[in-house]
Formats: sequence, structure tokens, C-alpha cells
Amino acid sequence: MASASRFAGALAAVALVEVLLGEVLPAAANVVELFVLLVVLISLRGNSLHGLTGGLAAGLVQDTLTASLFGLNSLACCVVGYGVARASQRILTNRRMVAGLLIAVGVMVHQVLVIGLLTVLDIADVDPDVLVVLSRALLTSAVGLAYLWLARRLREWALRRRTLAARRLRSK
Amino acid sequence: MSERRVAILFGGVVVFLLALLTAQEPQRAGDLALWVEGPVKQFVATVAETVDRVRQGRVARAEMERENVELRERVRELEAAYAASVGVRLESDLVSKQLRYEPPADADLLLADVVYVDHYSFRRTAILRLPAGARRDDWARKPVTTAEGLLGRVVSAGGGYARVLLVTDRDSSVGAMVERTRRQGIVRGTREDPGVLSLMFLPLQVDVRPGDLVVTAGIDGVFPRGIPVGTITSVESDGDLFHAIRVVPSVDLGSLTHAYIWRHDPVPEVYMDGGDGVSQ
Repeated sequence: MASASRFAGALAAVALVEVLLGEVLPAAANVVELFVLLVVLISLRGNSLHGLTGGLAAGLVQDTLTASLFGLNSLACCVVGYGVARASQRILTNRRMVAGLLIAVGVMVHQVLVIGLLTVLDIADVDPDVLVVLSRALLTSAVGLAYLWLARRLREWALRRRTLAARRLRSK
Repeated sequence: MSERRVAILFGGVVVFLLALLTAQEPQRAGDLALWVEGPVKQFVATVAETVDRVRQGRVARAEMERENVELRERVRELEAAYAASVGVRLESDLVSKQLRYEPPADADLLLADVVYVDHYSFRRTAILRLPAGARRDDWARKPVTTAEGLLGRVVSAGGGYARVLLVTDRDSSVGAMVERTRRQGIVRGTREDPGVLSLMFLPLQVDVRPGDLVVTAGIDGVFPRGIPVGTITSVESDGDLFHAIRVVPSVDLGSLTHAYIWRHDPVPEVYMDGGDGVSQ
């Protein structure tokens, strides 16, 4: 329940950031796939059901915020979340490089699915650019790695503070 | 929840989302459905068409075989009917020819069936079957003709039949003449060719040409004058005095069916010298 509420909070934060970036800096909003990053992160820490439901929820929110077909990002995020969750059960994801690689792969899979569905459904005349996809994957992966580093630092800092507070109480 | 159930749930969610997407683009969804469905339907249609073609081919083949048997039977029936009709037509032609024959005004003829013909052996004869009412009459030495011309003369009769010595026999002698010049001679059969006559005793100075018609001269005491005997085919010199004349008979001995026996009475033998070869 706590993890669900944390996920809901993170999802709301990502949606808020996306909206703000779309209003203030639209180019930056298209460069980093924050929803995919959130899905990959939640899938790395949870099981396949978490990946599936998390991907579905994030995709639905993203579909709500974008003007594309409703369900397009949901499907892509769902596949990414389930896939990353199944992969994380088979490989060690504690290392940062592995996590970064999974984030990059997840972004690329997401992009390929979206472009493929748009092409198959003949909704938009999409001209897939491999460099753009790779740059999005790399940037999102970099943001994800930065988040993981920052979160680790924050956890370590919080742990140190709790340790110091406990020593002070024992010395008094 | 087990991984298997999660996988099923994942599949269901994906299908649901795909349906949601295609529902928003029905035209494209229809195209996609056709893209997936088309080859399957085409395959099914091809298989069905092939099976139907094979089935129809078998049915058609069985039908053709049955029809072929019927047609063969029909052809056999028609061939038999045609053969019968040809026979009837030939018989009709022959009878018609005899019926159209106009004999001389003073002639009294008896129509008889030809039942036997031997025109290749040593004795060239034919046998006639006499009508029931004429079997007691004396037919010896009576002339026998057909619609085409002279056939021969009766040499013996009895038991309802009459034997005819054909004009082509080597012992047969007929007083004849060239119709165009009225020059007379004697027609006999030849040894070497049973289908050819020889007109003898026409001097070299007599005008005789191939194509001239030879008729009976009426000087032999047996045959009336003017009956066609044959047509001259070649004229050659025979020694110093006479032509060697070859004559093709008017009568086709290979298609005899009926003949006429003349009731004409020949000159009695007592008035003739005999032994001259003509009145045998």
C-alpha cells in the first residue's frame, strides 16, 4: 500500500513536470521520457505485476496528457514495464550500469512500439530517426542514473543522520 | 499472483489496448483485419476451390465416360442403320433401273432374279430363278438381257431355274453390228480376259472406231436386232483381212441382280445349218 501511494505520488510528480516542461520548455519535454523512466524504475524494484500495473497506469496518464490515440502510450508502457520486471527477475540490477542499460532499452522499446503502432495504424506520417531515439534513450538513462545516484546519496545521508542522533541520545 | 496469471493478464491488457486503438481507427482496423484475414480467406478459398474443381472433374469425367459409352452404342446403332439404309438404297436403285427400262414394243419379257454368276471360270454362266408361274415353259435358247444390254442366252432350264450362257463365254457367239455403220460381225468371249469381248470378221477397209456402239444384228436366229452388246475400246489389224476389235460389254457382270428373259422364239434349229457356232 505504501509503495502504491509512493508510486501514485511519483506519477503525479512526473505528470506535473511533464505539463510544466510542455508549457515552459517543450523541447526538453520531448527529449526525456519521464513516464518511461518511472515505469522502468518501478519495474526494477517490483515484480511483473507491479511492472504491468505501473506501466498501464503511467501510460494512461501519459495518454491523457497527450493528444495522441488513447491507449498508445499505455500499451507501450505496459510492455516496457512487464518486460523490465521479467528481466529484473533474471539479472542483477543492483549495479548502476545495468539499471542504466535497462532504462535505455526500455526507452527504445517504448519508442519503437509507439512509432510502429502509429505507422501500422496509419495515424501519422512518422519518419523514425534512429539518432533521436538513441539520444532520448541515452538522456533518459542519464537522468535515471542521476536519480538513482541522488536517491542513494539521500538514503545514505538520512541513515548517517539517524545514526548520529542515536549516538547523541546514548551519550547523554 | 503467479507469473502465469500475470502473463495471461498482460496478454489480456495488450489485446484490450490494441482493440481500443483499432476501435478509434475503424477504417484502418478494417484494413488490418483484412491484411490478417485476407491470406487466410484466400488460402481457404483456394483449398475449397481446388477440392471443388477436383470433385467437379471427377463428376464430369464419370459423366463423360457414361456419355461416351452411350455415344459408342449410338454410333453402333447408327452404323447398322446406315448399312441397312445403304443396302435398301442400292436395292431401290437397281429395282428402279429395271422398272425404268423400256423394252422394244414387240418384246415380251419375263423378269427373273439372278441367283448365281460365274464369269471368271472356264464356263461363264449365270443362273436365274424363274417366277412361279413360268417354270413349266420352254426357255431353251431364249435371249437374256438386262436394262444395260445383252447378257446371254438360256442353255438349259428346269426345277424353277434357268442356266444362262453369258455373252463373255468363249463358246458364245452373237451376231452383232456396229451401230454407226451397220457393218456386221460376230461377237465372242476371249480366252485371256473374261470381261472383254471380241468383234470378229470386220474387214480392214471397214470404218470402225473406238467408242462405237455394238448391238445385236438379229442374224443369228436367237437374238433380236438392236440389243446393246458393248462399246468398242480398241481397233487393231489382225493379219491381212480383219480388224482385231475389242469390246467392253454393256452389262456390268459384277452387279447383276435381275435379268429379263425374252419370250421371243428363236429360229428353229431345223431351219438353220447348225455347226456354224452361232446356233449352239
